[in-house]
Amino acid sequence: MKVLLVDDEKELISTIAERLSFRKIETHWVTEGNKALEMVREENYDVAVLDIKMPGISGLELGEKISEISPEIKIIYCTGQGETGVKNVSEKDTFLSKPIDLNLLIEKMNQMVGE
Amino acid sequence: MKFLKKRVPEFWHHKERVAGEKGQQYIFRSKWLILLMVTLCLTLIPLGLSTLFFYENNKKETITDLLSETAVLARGGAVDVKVFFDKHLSTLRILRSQFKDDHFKNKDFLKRVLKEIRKNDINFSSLSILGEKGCVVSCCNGRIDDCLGIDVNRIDTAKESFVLEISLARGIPGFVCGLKLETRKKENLYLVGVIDNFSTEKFLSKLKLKDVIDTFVLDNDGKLITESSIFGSSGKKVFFPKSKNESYSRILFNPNPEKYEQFLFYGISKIADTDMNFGILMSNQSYRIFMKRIKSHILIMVFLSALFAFIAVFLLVTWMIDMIYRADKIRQVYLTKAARSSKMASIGQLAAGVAHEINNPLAIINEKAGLLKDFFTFLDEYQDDGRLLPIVNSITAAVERAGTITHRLLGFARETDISVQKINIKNTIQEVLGFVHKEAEYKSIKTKVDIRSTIPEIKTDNGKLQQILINLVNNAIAAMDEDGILELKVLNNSDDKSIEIYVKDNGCGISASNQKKIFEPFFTTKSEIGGTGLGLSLTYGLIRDLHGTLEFDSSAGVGTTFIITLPYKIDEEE
Repeated sequence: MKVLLVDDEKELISTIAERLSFRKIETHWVTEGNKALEMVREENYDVAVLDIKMPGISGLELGEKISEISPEIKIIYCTGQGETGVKNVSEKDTFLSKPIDLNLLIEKMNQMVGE
Repeated sequence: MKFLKKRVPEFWHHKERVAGEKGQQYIFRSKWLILLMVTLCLTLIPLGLSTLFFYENNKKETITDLLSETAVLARGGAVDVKVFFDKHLSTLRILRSQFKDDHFKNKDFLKRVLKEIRKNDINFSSLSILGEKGCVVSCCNGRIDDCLGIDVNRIDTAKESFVLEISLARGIPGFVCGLKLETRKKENLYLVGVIDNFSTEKFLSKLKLKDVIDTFVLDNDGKLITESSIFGSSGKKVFFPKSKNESYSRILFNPNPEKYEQFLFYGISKIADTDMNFGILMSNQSYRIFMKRIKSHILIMVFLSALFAFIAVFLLVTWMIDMIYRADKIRQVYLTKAARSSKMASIGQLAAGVAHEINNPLAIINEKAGLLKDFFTFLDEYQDDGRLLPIVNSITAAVERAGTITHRLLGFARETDISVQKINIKNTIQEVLGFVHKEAEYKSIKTKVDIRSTIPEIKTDNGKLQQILINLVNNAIAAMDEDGILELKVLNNSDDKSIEIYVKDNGCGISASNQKKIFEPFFTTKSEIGGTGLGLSLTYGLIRDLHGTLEFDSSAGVGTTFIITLPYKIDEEE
């Protein structure tokens, strides 16, 4: 499984990426939306985890653009506001609230890729 | 007094700080006084003025009535006097027709005749024959020269008869009647009788009817012919306004203040066929009696009207000021509420902002700690030191706790979605009591539930209502010592659109200084036992989500009652 993480908090995103790689998940991370789009064009990812609140392009917009480039990528949105737990907005998209529970994230990703 | 004390309106004792150095003042009391005075003036002044007008009008009308009555009496009197003179003239006419001229020139004859007619109540004091140069022959009852005062020039020779006033011998006024005799020698001879002064006076006094206090005769120049008790003796000239009318009446002011009232009425009427006038003076007694009666009627009327006006104005003004006071009080309550809710809203926004900002560093700490833990889990070289893993675990536990707080704060600030459903409040309360059952049992707290049968099913968010009730019931249980009593009561609100839920305990209560702060986030009195100070502020936010209100009544040492008001249904358009 190949995962792309996008969040403006470099410390956070790099740590999560490192932790995921401990669990044998290939993970790339970027802190800007435009770079993320480049990455999506260059490589094939299974899952993209996007922070909704980012400077410049927002997580939701980015999600739409990624879907346009490669529709098969599953997208998980992270939000700082809201209750704990997961909320499905459409069939494809999943929301997770911060702080992210790593085990929950992995579980969700496995579910989505498995489908 | 006790009754009066109960009736004193609330505003009477209300003191308020006013601007300037005056300090606390009874502002509503002074408003009341000013309004009362102004309204009383506006009511009583027109009443007084109209009463005065009414009184003056009555006075004027009474005087007019009495004046016309006086004029009528004067006219009647003048007719009576004329009749009196005519009676004497008629006697002379009978004598003239019965006897020849020569008879009258005989003094003894005249004497006999005088004696005879006096027997028949015709009181001539003398009889004479008057020639062109004075008395030809005369005889009298008393003194001989009674007819000497007649001025022959005053006799109108064209007329058949005359009545003249004369001054008798001792200056006593008198009247003389004369009748022309038809003689063979064509002499101008008159048969003249001087009317007895005593009988004149007797006749005039007979005319003093009712309120007439004086009767008199005066000539056309206003000179008194007979004596008047007011104006004085005969010969005196009195003020005598000329008038074209035969009779008229006037008011005589200040005739003789010691003897009479301040004014009298007098009437003057011309005596027909003479140059004389008859006058009467009327006392103002009828006037005084009438005015006295009017005055007492007016006084009673004015007093009663003023009394009713005063009572009405007093009650009205008191009621008005009381209404203003009540409205003002309600306004202040709403202002306080509005201030509190805006304060809560800003605190909520602040809290949400802080929580959001803290969330990010918390997430980093969480992930870094997780990474550390991963090192110990996945890499062999770290597994030797057994002390580090528990440290990492306690860091993640602390982060989780902090995360819970930030989530709660965000929950307080944000209007979350609500899922409305029809619920039976009784079931909800039973469920809530089921949650706290163990805790209550542990402290031997008795629970009383009183739900009116008239409570309908309400449409609201059951989960949120449960959370609200659990928070309040938990607080109540925490406030009580052993053997406390927890009461839950549900009533219909008087507006029939909402219910009231009472959560009452008999615990330690909330001190007055804390009462203002209990809804603020992070305000807690239970920090030592792990209270976050978010319970009530969250509850407040949840009730607001359900379109309800939360009030409380508490006194330290007695207990606290929280009152939740919830609408029968949530208006989703709002």
